[in-house]
Amino acid sequence: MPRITIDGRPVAADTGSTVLAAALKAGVYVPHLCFLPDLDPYGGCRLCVVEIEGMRGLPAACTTPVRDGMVVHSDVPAVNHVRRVTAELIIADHQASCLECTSNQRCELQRAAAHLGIDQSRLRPGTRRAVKDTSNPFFIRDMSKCVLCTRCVRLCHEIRGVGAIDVISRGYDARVAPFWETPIVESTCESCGMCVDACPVGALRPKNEQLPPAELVRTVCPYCGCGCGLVLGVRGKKIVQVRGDGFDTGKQAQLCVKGRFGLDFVSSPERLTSPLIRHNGKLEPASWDEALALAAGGFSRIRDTFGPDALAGFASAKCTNEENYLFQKFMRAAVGTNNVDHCARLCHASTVAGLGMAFGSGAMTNSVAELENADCIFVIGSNTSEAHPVVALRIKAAVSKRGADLIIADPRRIDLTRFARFHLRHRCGADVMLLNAIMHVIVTEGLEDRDFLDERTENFGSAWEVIRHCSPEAAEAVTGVPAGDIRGAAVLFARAGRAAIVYSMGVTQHVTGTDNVLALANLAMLTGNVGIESAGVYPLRGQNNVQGACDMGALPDWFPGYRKPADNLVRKSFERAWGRSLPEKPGLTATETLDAVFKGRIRGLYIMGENPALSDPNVSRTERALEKVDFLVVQDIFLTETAAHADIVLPGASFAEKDGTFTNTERRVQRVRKALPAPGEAKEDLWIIRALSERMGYPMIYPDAAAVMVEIAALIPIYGGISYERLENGGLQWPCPDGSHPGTPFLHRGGFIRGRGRFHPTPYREPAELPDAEYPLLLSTGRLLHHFHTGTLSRKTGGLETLSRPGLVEVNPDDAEVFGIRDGDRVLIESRRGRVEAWAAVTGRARQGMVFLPFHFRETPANVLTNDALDPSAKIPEFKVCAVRVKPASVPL
Amino acid sequence: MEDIVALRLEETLRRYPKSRSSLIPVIQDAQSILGYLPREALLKVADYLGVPASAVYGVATFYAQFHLTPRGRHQVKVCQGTACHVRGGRSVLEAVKTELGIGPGETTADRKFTLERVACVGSCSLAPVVLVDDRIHGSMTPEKFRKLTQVSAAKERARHRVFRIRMVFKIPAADTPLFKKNAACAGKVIPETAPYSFTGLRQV
Ligand code: SF4
Ligand code: SF4
Ligand code: SF4
Ligand code: FES
Ligand code: FES
Repeated sequence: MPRITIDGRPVAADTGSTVLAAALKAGVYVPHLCFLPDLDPYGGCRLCVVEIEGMRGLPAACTTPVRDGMVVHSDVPAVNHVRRVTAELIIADHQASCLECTSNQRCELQRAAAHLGIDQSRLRPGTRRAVKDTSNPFFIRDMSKCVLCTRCVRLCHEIRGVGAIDVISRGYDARVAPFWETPIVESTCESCGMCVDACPVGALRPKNEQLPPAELVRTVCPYCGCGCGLVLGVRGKKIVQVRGDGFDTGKQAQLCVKGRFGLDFVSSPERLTSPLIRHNGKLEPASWDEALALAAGGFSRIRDTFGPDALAGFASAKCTNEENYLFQKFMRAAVGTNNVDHCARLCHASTVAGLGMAFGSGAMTNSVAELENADCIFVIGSNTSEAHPVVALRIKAAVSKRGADLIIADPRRIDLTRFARFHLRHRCGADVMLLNAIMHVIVTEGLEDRDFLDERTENFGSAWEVIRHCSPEAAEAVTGVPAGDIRGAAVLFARAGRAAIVYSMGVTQHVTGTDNVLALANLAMLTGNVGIESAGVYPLRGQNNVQGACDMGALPDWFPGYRKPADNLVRKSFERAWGRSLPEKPGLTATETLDAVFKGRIRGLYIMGENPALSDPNVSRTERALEKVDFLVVQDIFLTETAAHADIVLPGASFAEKDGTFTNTERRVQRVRKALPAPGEAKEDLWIIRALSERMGYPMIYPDAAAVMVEIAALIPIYGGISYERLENGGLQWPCPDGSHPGTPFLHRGGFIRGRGRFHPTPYREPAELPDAEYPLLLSTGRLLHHFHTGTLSRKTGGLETLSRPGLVEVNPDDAEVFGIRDGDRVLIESRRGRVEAWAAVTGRARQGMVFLPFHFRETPANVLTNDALDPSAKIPEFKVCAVRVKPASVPL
Repeated sequence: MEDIVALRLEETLRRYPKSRSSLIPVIQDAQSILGYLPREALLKVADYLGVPASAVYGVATFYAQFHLTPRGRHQVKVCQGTACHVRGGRSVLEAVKTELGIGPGETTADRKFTLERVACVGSCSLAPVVLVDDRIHGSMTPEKFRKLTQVSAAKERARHRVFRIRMVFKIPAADTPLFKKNAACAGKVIPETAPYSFTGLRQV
């Protein structure tokens, strides 16, 4: 560790750090503007100049690396004089109206000026005529205050990989602007707001942060499986500020637009504030006592008349681990049925099944941060930069900082293709064929990892029997990807030292979902990329806590911790812990539950925080099921499309109003902390489940969420070492079997969880429904950056709504010509199951022969069209492929 | 952009590796094909090189050699340096503006002249000074300037004739892809924005 002296003070610096970083770390303030710890050294503002003995001139502290024994003079007249001149030049161009500025007292220019003893009266209106761009719904760009430190520019390019803005023109005219100086909303800006937080002055400022917060609460983002840490600034009963949680790293933690600006839903006036009971067909407010008594009475009656298996519950990947744990415990112990499931069925059931069969665990094998050090990344069926934006940052960094090779397999031209060496635009649903062909190339070229195959895996022979028929040429005919590209990509992947596979719903939501996952597992094993750092298989889980909900056993065929109800030992141990005898037979999956409603086998439904009326395939059928079921209780924070069908609605608490934990996509258990009281009569979900259970004769006594975690740790071995005390210092990745275990960044080290990794033959099967003469186009559904899932949360935030116009369907230009559609036309999309109207966006993003429709919007409910055909083993519906026809709508709306 | 121009741009792009280091040579080429750098061309370059459009725009606005608006065939630069200013540079600029009907940074509708204001060009003894295509015209007055534009317009007409003839004889050999593309497009109307070098081809 190099030791240096700054103004006579001995300072121990980190190796490789700069003089400025060392000084700041030691608490010595050296004026600076362009320096930001996250970014590469820049040396643009010259405010940080220092005198260093033995060096000529005045070097910039932020670009000078420390050397042992350096003697630095910072706060000395000669240096300060130079700094003062520089600062005054900056100030002359700066519109200084500090009192009206939201950055007042947080401004780094003010601080530097004060340090240098620059008279406040020098801070006066600047001379630059600059525009104020208020086009973004979330922040203002007031360039009259810009000091050209270029932090925003470098951050947007280096870290976000977006590059929406840059310094344009030169000399006195130089300024920061988007391409062609359009308003920022018309640029490629993703509104992540990270540049806003990086700006040292008030040039970039959020629109909604008028007041400084009174209290800061560390918690976790409620949107996606990235599980970014948030710091909520709270004042009164409102969230007044949101930042990424960089406490661990000292850097600015990156968020996406949803986490940074999408939390207004918490204080939405549409929140449910009191229980509702249906009277004469209308939902009316009621007291908790009434509502709970009715709910418990209804459930008990059904259980007693038709047996416990006439009831089913949907837990929620949005709720905490503690809530999911209690929910399934309620269903299993208080009701006595295994009919409990949640939306993981709709996104990653095939992952849990496939990776479980191949590796012995359905979870992501490695950690997200490791992606940055991978040599090759293969992204298939994941529009990462829109659906998992913060994971995408790691992928972009691997490419731009370390020169990793990126291979994308996606029918659509997604944003990440900008960074890719190969973009394999295969036909939707032909994934297995593509993967088999890639493996074919690897084996025929002799690039497989023989040692790994022999020592760590089994059954390669039977997989090879299938693969050997899948030459790239044969695959070209099926997938539409040129054989040469398949070869190139395969060789690139196989030759890489550490190669990672990233996938998501584009792989899982097919009737062949499990096969797709198995084929990916085969590929990872074939190249020896499991059980080592920065390689492995990354299923990106959609919801913030879908991993946790699965871990907690909110699944019909698994008890908590992935243990089989049929196993007597397992069942006995849970029976002892819960004091009830437990059902042995696996329950119904979410998709089967709705079928069972029609057959009259399911009569009562308890749905916590899910919205199947918009998220499930073939929604008109789902709606009919919700209508038909005798007794429906919905617990949610909004009156969702599903809740509108309920007999009883119970108002729950949002993520900001409760304590608990979420487990993100990399198995990291993180603490969610209560920042606000729930609005009105709304209650924490734990309280609601306990109250219901008590009324059904099964009291559950827990003083708080921490106590639930104690029980979870005792019953689920992989959570054995997890406690709220330990989580205070950051998250822990399971398996974490005991209190001293540091958590597990990557799985299968030295051996697979199931012993040997198992190859499975994956013959190519066609999607359940392919385009034909009648329905000639293929429809795929997916997500947009600015929205989340059915929009229950994201559409309650006004600004997000303005950023992505609802109801656009992407059509390829060639198809548009064939079907007589022009950009901006109102079109009718029809499938065998329903019809939806939307606006056509004619764009090369969509592959020829396919149309793409996001499923967030109730105006264009994509799932009216989708096919509810199921994957035979995982029971996941085929959201990603169905046949449609598109034509201009006759009557414009 | 008109097809023929887009084709030539694409052809040029393909000659460069997809990397940021190609940026400056690529937009230099683009400008020499198109005469200036329209928005769509920059977007195309950005898309091809995989560089953010803002960065392409940053470079295109940084160097004086790049122009984002169509350029006239003659560059008129009116000096506003101290010496010229003192000796009436301002009224010369006003006169030039009225004469050409455009402001600094703009181009006449017939693409003949582009007007720019410059700081001292080092010929203070001749102040006030106007440059037309880098030829210095000293002791400028509004009257003198009017004459000057008439002369250069006449010269231009002459040159134009010569140029057309030359172009007719310099058509690319009939079997090259460029010729085929050009010939395929030749029937189409070439808009005002078309580069000078295509005016000849129009006659083919
Ligand atoms: S908000 Fe994000 S994407 Fe937009 S300019 Fe700032 S850093 Fe770039
Ligand atoms: S807008 Fe802010 S961060 Fe960006 S260059 Fe200007 S002062 Fe720096
Ligand atoms: S990436 Fe996901 S977890 Fe992170 S801020 Fe965005 S929505 Fe939230
Ligand atoms: S902080 Fe060192 S030059 Fe700006
Ligand atoms: S001021 Fe015009 S040439 Fe010097």
